[in-house]
Amino acid sequence: MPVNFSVRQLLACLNVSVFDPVKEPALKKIGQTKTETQSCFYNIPSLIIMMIIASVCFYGLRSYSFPAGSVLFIVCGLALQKSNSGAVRFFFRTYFFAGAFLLTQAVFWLSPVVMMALLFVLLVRSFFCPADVWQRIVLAVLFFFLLQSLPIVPLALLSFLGTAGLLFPIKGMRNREAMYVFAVLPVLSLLIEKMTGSLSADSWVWTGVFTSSFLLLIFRLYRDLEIGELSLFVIGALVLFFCGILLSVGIEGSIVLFLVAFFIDSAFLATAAILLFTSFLIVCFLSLPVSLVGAGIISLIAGCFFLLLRCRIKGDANEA
Amino acid sequence: MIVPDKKTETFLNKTAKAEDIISLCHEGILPSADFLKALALCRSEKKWLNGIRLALLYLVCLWFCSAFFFFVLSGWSFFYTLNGGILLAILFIVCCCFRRFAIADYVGAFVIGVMIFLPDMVFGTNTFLYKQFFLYFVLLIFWAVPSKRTGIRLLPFIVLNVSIAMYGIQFLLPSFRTDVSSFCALAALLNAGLLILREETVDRITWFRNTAFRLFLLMAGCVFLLAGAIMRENSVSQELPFLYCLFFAVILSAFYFFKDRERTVFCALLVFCALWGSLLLYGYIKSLELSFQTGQALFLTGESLIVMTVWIAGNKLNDCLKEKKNAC
Repeated sequence: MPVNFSVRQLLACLNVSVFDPVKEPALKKIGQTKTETQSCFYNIPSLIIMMIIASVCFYGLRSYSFPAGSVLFIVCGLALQKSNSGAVRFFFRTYFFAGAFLLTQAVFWLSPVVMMALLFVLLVRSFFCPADVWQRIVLAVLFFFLLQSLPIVPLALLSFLGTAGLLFPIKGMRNREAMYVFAVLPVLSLLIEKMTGSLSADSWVWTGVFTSSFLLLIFRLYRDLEIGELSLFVIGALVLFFCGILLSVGIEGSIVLFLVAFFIDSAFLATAAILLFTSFLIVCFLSLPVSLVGAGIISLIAGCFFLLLRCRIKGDANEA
Repeated sequence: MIVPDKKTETFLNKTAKAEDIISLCHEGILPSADFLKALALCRSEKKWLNGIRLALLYLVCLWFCSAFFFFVLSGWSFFYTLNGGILLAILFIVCCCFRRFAIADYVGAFVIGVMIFLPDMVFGTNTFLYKQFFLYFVLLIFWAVPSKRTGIRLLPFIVLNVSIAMYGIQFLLPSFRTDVSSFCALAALLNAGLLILREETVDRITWFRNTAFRLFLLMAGCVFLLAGAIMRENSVSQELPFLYCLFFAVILSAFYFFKDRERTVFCALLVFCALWGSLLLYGYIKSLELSFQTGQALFLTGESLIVMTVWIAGNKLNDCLKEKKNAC
């Protein structure tokens, strides 16, 4: 199947007319949206560096959260409005977010409910108003970390909503980045809990959430699936459920993430899912009570399994 | 719309990507129910299959290497026997015969090291580590010369630096023949000397041609300087030699950057300056005798500014190099 469809051809395949007067303003709007040049200060590596710098600054100043946070928030916020240069904006944006982290902590200590409500309102507002992408990401990350203080159910619900948001883009709602955060961070936090040994009785909640996410994916696809494919998917859901209970809930979660990534064609999410899957596999393997020879045998079997899978996929690719 | 405007026409004629489909859904042009169908039409199955196969390859290598590790570890006592020695010798001969494969090349280099260190572990000869590493360095030269792989050619220099470090730790410093600062400065100068030798002979000796040599020797010198700065005693009089060394490292790196516009050298230099700046900052804040919270606040804020400076400088350099490349 050719993959070089133009937007026009794609819309034609899906019976969407570009001549529809109702759709004309929206098409014009997309066509005229100024494509932001890929500035070296506005990409994924810069975002990661920004988060690291802001976190380091936050950790250092956390004893003076209110005064330092207020100064950074106000001064850097004002400077950010005035500056045009990419480097200067990056500088002030980083310390603006550091100030935001500090103020979040200060207000959270005073009243957790107020802070969470405020963050929720700001986050939802950013979905509907034209907001800076990084602002949405930072708000989503902050909201996620604040939810850690609650029991597990809201966090699990957030993970489910994240997956749902990725599969169901809603008109007028620019929540993609936040949905990525809500889909990936819970699995990452599960990995950290597994490594520190604190993952225990609540894992069945996560098993349920990840299986539900997979069922949601099936629901999304069911109209385009044949009976045979549908039954395979349902069997897959059962296998995933038992994998989560018997093996590792994190492995189940990362597999579901990968499948979602494939269907939404997201290389970033697929990479994150593979890294999480590998990490969970290693952590589970290292926690097995086996001898060195036993560990060697298990590693050999795992290596052979992945090799067979790779050869099988290579065979399918050659046939295609 | 009978005749769409130019920008809309450009958008409609461009190859559809996932971001475009998401924009179409957000604007209500494409119904949400058709989102996955649209993505399926644009998805490159070949790209996905290649990505999955690459990921599986990494997993296969990881699990086979860990299997090898566990089996060797479980049977380690076998290598203490004569049969174990014979097996190592056979393995070395096999690696020599199949050197055209990268794995044989690297395993052969590793087996040389095992055959040097194993007698000491088995018979307890108490040989100094620096002598063993120096012997390893000499034998590695013979192994590396016929190899075409940069990793193998770099190994002797890596082992040489380890040998120098062991010499300092096991002999020079305990016998008080020199102090930490002077030893590290001398080790850094040795690496600088090798670097200059490489630069002067690179046109005649093609063996050194890969720029990884330049990067490694520069970084080895910087690591010694940093190690000396960390381990030195708190003495003001010892600051001066390190400032000179810092200037020396910066000037040398800047020279090679401006000579060949080598981005990796400049980025490595920035990292070195950041680490050096962090050490100086830590020393200065420690000397102020502040409370723990204030000291931590000052240090981490300063640290964040250092990382920020390095990142901005690195990106600006990237932009300059790209502009120059485009201009050419």
